[in-house]
Amino acid sequence: MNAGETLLEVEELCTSFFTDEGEAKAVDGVSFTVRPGETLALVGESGSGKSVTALSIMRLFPSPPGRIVGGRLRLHWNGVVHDLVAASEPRMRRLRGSAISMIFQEPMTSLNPLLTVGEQVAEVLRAHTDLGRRAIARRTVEMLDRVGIAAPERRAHDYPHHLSGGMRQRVMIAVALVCAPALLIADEPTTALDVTIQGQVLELMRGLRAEFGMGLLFITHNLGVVAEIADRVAVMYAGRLVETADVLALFDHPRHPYTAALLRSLPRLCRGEAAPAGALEAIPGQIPSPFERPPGCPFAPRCGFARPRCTETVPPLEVTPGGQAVRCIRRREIVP
Amino acid sequence: MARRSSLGRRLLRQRMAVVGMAVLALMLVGAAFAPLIAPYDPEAMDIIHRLSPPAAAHWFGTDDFGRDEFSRVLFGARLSMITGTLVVVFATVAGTVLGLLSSTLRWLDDLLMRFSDALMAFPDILLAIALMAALGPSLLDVVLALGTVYTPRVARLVRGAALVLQRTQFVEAAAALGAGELRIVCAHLLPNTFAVLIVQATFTFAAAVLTEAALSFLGAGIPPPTPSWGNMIAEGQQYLDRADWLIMAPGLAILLTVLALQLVGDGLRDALDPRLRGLT
Repeated sequence: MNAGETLLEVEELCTSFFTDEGEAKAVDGVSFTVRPGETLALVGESGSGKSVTALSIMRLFPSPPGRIVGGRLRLHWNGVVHDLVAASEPRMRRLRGSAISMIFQEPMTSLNPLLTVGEQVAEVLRAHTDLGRRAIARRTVEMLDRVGIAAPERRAHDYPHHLSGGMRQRVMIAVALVCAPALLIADEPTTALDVTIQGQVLELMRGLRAEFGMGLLFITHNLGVVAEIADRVAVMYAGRLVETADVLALFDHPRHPYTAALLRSLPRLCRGEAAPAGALEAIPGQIPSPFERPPGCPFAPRCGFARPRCTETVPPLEVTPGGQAVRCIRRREIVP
Repeated sequence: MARRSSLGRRLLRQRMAVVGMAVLALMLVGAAFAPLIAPYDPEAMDIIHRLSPPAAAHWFGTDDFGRDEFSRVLFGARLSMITGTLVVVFATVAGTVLGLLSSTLRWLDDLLMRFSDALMAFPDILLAIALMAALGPSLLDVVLALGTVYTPRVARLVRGAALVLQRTQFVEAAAALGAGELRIVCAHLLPNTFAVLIVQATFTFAAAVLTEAALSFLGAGIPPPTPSWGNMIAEGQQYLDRADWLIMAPGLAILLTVLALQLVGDGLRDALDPRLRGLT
């Protein structure tokens, strides 16, 4: 696997929802790539379009009213380039679970309450492989064991309600990874878990990513989690990317005022004299409605650095010499 | 397996549901073994002893033809139980299929739901009478008519439950892992509607027993001389001043059966409650 290899290419993706109130541009020209073995964190507040981006890649958004209105989605898998925008539904169904998998936020409701956890892992194997019953059972137990479930032979016969939230999320990870997908999309997989369990699940996902060599698209609004797991970060705001950067660069020198504001709104533990004065900084205002985006920079109405010309045209995503991409016309003048 | 036994235990912990089940079991035994238990042929006339009050020879007395009222109530129970069971099977199967179709195929949804709205706009009994007029008087026609009356209710319920389930994460997750539409409906939606279906089935059973009795009372159901609780009350009401046991016996049988079914239904609902949250 050479370093230049890409796994997923997202190019100028636009996904809209056509409702009675008009067209809601949930995702409006998003581009990024994910390489094998790499974790890209997609960060943003609720309503920024990060989940719709993920569902667009899976082609699982409700349709109608949703539609991919532009852009390209390409998945490199098994030496073939799969066009995820044009692929037929049966072909998408074959890719889901085997090439791309997804895990969700709520471990309490992500498993069918009437099937044993073993059956739910086995179901994916039955759908995507030709393995016989014995082989499936063996593989199921192996996978449950791999995600850190004690006594997996016995646990495989348990129903989801016998398990704790952390255990269920482990089962969910086992279900998602049992066919060794090339890309795993994780939509806020740790948000609903206790902090102590969050760490364990992140550790597990990191280990599995290395073991399977898969790319990970990690969606979250929790910057603490980003710092722990991501290689690169893409910050979304109002359906667009506002900044992409390596994780260290982003935390050290955020270039977009929105990223900087997000980082400042994070609670920090400081020792001694450096303790910041006053309360946490919240970002005033709200994310603009997807039905009526302001002209120009969507963050301008909430931005402390905004000038009248910010509201004239949408700023382009410019790449700095350091490889950081920023969508702000004042990026050279200001150091947020 | 663990789930089933704990459901049974939770049900047994509810006293009223246990009473209901006992009464129902009694009715079912009576209905099943009516030919063995009944002391007389329910259609054998004995004019000499007509309209005799309840006594040792005739526990529930005799009617205007001298037929044994107790034997007739037993055979009536048979009819009610058969009707109830068949109506429940009909309405549950048809309603489940239609409800699942409706929840999955959007273009069919409007059509099916408007049609079921139209059917549900009629009062049960009126629709049943109209259907009976079109079909003709026999047990099978009664089942067909009542089945048609109660199918939209089940369809609505299943559709609602399935729509809620389709929004749950485990269904989304199944789709994200490559499960097809049919697989999702059969493995994820259908089994998770069983809880609501079981409860609805007991209430449908009670409603079917009641409506069948009403139909037969009005002369639109099972025709005499076949004993049905409804036509027994209809015949008995002419002698209300002299022989009130003629309506008391079948009337109490209807009351007890419907009450027992409601108690069992309530008990089941409570026992299944954690699984019903958000679905009813």
